[in-house]
Amino acid sequence: MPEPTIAWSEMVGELYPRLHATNESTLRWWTEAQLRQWANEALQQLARGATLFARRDTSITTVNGTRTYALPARHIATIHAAYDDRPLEPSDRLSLDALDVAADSALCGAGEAPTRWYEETLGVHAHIGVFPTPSAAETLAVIFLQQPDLFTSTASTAPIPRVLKAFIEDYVLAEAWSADSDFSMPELAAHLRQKREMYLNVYRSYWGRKQ
Amino acid sequence: MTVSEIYAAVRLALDDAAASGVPASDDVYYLQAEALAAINEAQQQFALLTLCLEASGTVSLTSGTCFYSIRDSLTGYLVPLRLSISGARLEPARLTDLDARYFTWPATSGTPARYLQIGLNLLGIVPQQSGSSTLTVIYAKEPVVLTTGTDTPEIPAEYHPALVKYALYYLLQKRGGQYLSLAVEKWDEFLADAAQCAEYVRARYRARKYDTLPAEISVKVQKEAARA
Repeated sequence: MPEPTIAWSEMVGELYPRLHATNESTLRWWTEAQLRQWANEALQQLARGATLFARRDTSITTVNGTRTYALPARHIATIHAAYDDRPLEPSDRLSLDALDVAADSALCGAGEAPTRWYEETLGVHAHIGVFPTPSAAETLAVIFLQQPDLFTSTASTAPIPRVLKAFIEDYVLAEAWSADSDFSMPELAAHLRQKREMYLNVYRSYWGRKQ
Repeated sequence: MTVSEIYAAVRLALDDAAASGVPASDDVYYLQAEALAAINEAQQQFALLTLCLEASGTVSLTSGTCFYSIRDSLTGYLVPLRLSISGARLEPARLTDLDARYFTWPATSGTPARYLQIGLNLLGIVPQQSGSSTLTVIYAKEPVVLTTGTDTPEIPAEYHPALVKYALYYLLQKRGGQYLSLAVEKWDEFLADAAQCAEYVRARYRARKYDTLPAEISVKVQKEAARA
């Protein structure tokens, strides 16, 4: 069966009564698009703060003489990299420069394999580099944290268990009740924001353990 | 308690019966559907904080394959408790453990001895068995959605009153002011109930040498029995 998902339409249907509405047209101080935007922020917190969405990608094939490779879409952070199923040691540009004065031009000899990986830090983390530069075509398998697809319409879904729905709904309610309006309830918003860290800690203890 | 009984207890505490005095599908401030959503969320959060719901299932392992999407195979899967193949238990491992122990662990043949879980869904088995086999998984699960009045929550019956407390917390929030204060009290009581159950589950899982324990929760309210 495919990975179970939760629909945004189900979540927003439960949010309307809690915002004193019955449907989108009766929402007084907010729009469905605003609620959806806050839900997306909650998804981003789950992805980055609780490290829930890990994927393994094997689509990268190294090329002789090419050091850096584009990372998969919606990549947040690389956890592990393996060249031809051999784990690579995590590194960074500073360490590589300290290791080898000619780090930029170091090339694997015949039968040699890269030993380290690093992420390019210029701009967005869109590339992964290996050292030394590979001289063969092999699979570079990357285990990474990925941002799930955001909610774009009421038909959107998120690949989360039902128990995590409350985090997203509480996040939306906290933002909605703190939004500037005659109907704001900042004390409720403050309470819901306080709960977030507790839940993120629970999620980290179950799914985001150090690897 | 059934859903109807929990709903009745919630309505009694909310004091929000329909103006006619006759139980109706919706009350003045709260819809019945809203109350049902509250009860479902209560059970889901209780199960998450305590990991009190246990289930068992199997995953078919393919020859030479290391990684699996475990949520695709097991209904309601949350966290692993015990994994085994033909009765032989697999030890939990981290990426750094596997890097240190095996030269090419994603493609190493042998009798499976370890597993790792990364995130919600990515499960790895190391080494990988030649030929197909079956992985038996005991796992903590999320509860089934309650839909009718005759449904009974899956969490232990002695904690069903905690669902009433959470439902009150959920429903009273939107009225703000003094109702929010009352709601937060109910939230604290719910957390105390969950912490007590989690302590029991933790002791039970330790005795069974399960791989994942319920999270530690700090609570403001201590239950009477906890002070003994």
